[in-house]
Amino acid sequence: MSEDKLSTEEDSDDLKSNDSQAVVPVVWYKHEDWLAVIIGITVLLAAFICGSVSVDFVDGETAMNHPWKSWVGKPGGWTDNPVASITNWRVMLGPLLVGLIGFGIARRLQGHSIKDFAPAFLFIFLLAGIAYVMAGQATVKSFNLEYALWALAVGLLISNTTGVPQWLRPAVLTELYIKTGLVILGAEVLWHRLIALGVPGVAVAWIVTPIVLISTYWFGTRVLRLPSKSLAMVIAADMSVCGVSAAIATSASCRAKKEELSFAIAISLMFTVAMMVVMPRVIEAVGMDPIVGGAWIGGTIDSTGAVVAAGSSLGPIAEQTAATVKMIQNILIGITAFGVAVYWVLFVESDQASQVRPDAMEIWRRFPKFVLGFVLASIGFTLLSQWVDNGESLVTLTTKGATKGLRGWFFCMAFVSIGLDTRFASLKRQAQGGKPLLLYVCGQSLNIVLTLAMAYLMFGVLFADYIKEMIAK
Amino acid sequence: MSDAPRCNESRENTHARFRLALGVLGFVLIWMVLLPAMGRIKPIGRMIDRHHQAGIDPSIMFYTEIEHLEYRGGMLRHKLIKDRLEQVDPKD
Repeated sequence: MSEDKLSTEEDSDDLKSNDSQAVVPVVWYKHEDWLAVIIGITVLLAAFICGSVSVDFVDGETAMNHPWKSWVGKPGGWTDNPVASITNWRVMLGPLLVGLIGFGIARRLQGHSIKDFAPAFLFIFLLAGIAYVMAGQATVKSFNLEYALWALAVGLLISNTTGVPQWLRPAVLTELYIKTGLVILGAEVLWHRLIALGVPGVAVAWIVTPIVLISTYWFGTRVLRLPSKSLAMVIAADMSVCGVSAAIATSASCRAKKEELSFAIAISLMFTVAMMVVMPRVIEAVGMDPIVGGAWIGGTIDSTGAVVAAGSSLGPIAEQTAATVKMIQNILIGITAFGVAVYWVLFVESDQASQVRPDAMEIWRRFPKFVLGFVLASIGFTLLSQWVDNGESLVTLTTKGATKGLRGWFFCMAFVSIGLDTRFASLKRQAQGGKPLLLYVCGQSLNIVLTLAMAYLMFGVLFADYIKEMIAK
Repeated sequence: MSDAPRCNESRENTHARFRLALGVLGFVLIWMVLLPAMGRIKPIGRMIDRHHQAGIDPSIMFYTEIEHLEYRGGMLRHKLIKDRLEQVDPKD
């Protein structure tokens, strides 16, 4: 497996090559996937326990914040003066400390020196901070140009000019950051919210999304004949599910190349900016019902932030409907990541490796284990939200006040690392004569048409009264 | 003879640093001059103000980052009025 994949030989195989002839077994806890699961679950448990022992609830509500909230966050927004974004610098200390300790121990377990890792990690963290500050500029923020893009840009600038200095290499850990971030993200994937909005929500998010995902992947691999199946999958998931977060989860599940993830995200953000501006204008121009319009926006625009912004320009009803449909799609990334990982191990990798269907042990060996951590975190936090006293509030407090800030930094450092590992030439190669762009356009066109039809049928005809009553509650 | 490759390497390093400096300067100019100027263009300025007043961050990645909405009664809704009133200074 090549070095530029989102999974390395070390973590996908139980045997690690020592030299060209001999192989030695690697202890399970030294594998990147398991390390990501251990760090992620530890962070989640610590955050949940801290929240539950220090926050008091009255009638299921609290006016208190999670104790980590003032220590975990991202730089704020700014208009003219970037210094304004780092006035609350304390919020960066939490992610710095957790990352330094968590990833430092992981590197030590893998046999690397903490002395080499620490200064390199501090520099990667600084670059991620710069990317966050760039993303916080008011104009950039308003056009939904997320931090992932700027983290990539910062990394690309260094790798394509001076190159990456050797001392920085110990902390260029794309896979570890992404997988740990995904395990932590699992806590935000609460399964019971999949049935939000009832049947209409299920119809738009559960029926249209898988149809578009599968059709786009099929079109990309069979009709356009993209040489890389993983690129087709990442574009399909990014476009049909929920943008950058789905692209990250899917790319890790199907072991896409780093450049493929970057390329898919760049295409998605480009179209998101346009759709965020154009779709509300179209809905207003044709006099569409704001509930139907909101559902249409929620089901088609890739990015969650852009969905809320576009929905809000049509009024609060459209905004809430759009945000809820997008929330259901957000939660679908749990199923998507797991499904893609299973499909890849069973069908794609077995086709590529040999024509023989792998046995159970082989499937287990190839399966990306961090996906199990992601699913475990998701199921665990769903159960906690339902079974523990004040569970829903406590889980929301934990994820909003503590863990979302951490996984944001880990993803940001992952994108800095991808930029540092990428040459412009390899990004250019991904363009493949415009085929990926064509795939996105075709898939998104199908998404727009199918979602409109389903949104109109469900929210405008069959369940119109039910939805109006629900919104009025 | 042996000085020639070293000289080339040094020249390449200087060029690389110059390209990096140029890139950084480009970023600084775009973020400090161009983007703030774009924000002052009326339609863009209005959009920024509208997002700011409604507490919307269009650059968020996941629904848990939406600060002004909360999950209640089977959907994401605007936070209850009592929460909003707490944030408003009565003198205003």
